[in-house]
Amino acid sequence: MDHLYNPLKLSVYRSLFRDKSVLILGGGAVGSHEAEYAVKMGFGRVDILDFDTFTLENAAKHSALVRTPEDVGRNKAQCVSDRLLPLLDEGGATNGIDADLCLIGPEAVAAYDFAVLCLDNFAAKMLFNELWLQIPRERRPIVIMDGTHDEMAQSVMLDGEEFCLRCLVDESWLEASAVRTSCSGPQVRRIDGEDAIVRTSNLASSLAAILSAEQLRAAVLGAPDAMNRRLTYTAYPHLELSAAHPMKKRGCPGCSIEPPHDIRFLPGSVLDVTLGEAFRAIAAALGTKAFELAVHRLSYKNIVYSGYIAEAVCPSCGKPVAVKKHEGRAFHSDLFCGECRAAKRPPQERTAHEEGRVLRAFTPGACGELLGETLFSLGYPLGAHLEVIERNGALDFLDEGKIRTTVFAFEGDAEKMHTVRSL
Amino acid sequence: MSFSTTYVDETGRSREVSISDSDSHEALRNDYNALMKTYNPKYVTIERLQAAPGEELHLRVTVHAPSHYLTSSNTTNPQPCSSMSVEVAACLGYPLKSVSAWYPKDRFLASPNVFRSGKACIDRWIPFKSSLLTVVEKLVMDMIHNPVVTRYDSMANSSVEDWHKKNAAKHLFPTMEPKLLYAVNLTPLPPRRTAAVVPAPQPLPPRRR
Repeated sequence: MDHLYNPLKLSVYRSLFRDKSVLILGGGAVGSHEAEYAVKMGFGRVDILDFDTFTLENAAKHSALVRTPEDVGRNKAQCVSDRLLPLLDEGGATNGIDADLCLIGPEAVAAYDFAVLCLDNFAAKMLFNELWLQIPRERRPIVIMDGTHDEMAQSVMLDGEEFCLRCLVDESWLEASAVRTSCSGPQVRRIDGEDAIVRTSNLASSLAAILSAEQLRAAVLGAPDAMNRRLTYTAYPHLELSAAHPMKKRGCPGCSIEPPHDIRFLPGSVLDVTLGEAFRAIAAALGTKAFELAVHRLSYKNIVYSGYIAEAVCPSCGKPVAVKKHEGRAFHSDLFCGECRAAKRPPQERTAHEEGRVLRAFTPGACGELLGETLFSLGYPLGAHLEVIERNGALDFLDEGKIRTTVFAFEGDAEKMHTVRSL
Repeated sequence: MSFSTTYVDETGRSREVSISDSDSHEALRNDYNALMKTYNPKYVTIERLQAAPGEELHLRVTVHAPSHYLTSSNTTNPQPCSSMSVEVAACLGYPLKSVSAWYPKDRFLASPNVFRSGKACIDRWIPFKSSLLTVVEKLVMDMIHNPVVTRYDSMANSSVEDWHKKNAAKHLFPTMEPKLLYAVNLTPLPPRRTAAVVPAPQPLPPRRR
């Protein structure tokens, strides 16, 4: 195949980008620009992840890759990826995944050399921080986080050695961390106790993407002193571009996250492997069937979801309801029986609500009805770390030295990130 | 992997707190050790059971005192008994994650705060206020039918509400003096100080005329 572009008119170092991959989280105002720059720089793989859809009201901010009005209503990640196809140079590839961040795990992030966060809320950024820091240091991608604030654009590049993403965030911002705070349209933000609409222009969003792209380029080229720097562009009152070296936050909860000492890989992918198949593979790897597989732990918006709701008690009529969903993927309406949900009956007042049957771990002997379910449907994200616990005769955790935990992951999860269209 | 939550401190400021798995184990170990010192073993026995999958600690708490139980979800006639047992389990994430408590399905406490399935209602879990100690405290008091802990406003089993209220009004509940359940404080008092002997003051000289 001939080159799409005339090599004589391109940068001399363009070939350095060919074997590099980048995951862009968020395909909106900043993410669509970022994807365009990454492909034009010559990255061999540009994947985008976003659960949101394009709307007409934000059309003034997206990259011109996104067509108006044809692309209104399309998933942002899939749409941007499709629009990148004609720009791909020889050997280049792209994929757009319609999914939110809760559906991917550390090994999905580890499949890339770079990850660029074009996200508009701190809850998602902190969740990404958890995933990223669970990856062993030698396989961690370089992360670039950008954002806008009014007409200011900012981008930080970090390798996790000096500080983490949480160090860059004021803890008070995390109180309402899911409120969209950045660059995708008029958003309401509380400033000094007052609700204020935050307005950001296309210029600020595209500048944030340019700053990130510049840092991406510096990382690939190995530019000295580029790592762990924050670039800030301010439009008013003075045009200014500054660079700073952020500091580690004292007592940062994010920095205390440590990756597992050892990760053992199994064939297949979380999307395809059933619980029964996983049990067989783990038993073969450990040489025993006496183990339990901990239910996936999702830490999102200051809540840790670590249970699998097998059965609930309808808060309205008290009947048992087969929910069969991970806590992090279940909605309040899922806990009602079909009849009460259809009639929109309220929960009973003056009555305590029973929890139902919530599993904290799956065991080979006790989960017969779930053995045919895929791990993904049981709540494990694509690229999950699976915690397997061997009690070795211990009564409980007080019997120290007996309990052994082994972390497993699936070899095929990284490849799935390049092919799956939605989760 | 860490567990995090937002809690409101004593000054009313909400703060985010994150704990690691080892922090969770340490908190559970401390509370277990404190629990073992809290009750009088003559009336309250606590034993460790085999933890089920996903559990970190599984305890059986037995109160050796008059109590009442129900035998199935359909029965409404409490049966008297001389002891009552409840099981309590804690999982990773404690104390940010709540503990759970339940009675055997065929012998569960006759209380407005125990579901007909045998599960005990342990109220809303408030991190750093609720703990294994506070939950066991409530369960132990409930097992002697102490109306102080009974929440009639959030009923788990309304069929025993009238029965419970009637017996509380007749002062039949609690079934024993609650303070007897607690361990005797064995910390010795410091030795009594003997009063120093103060010599009598010298007599005043005779009054001059």
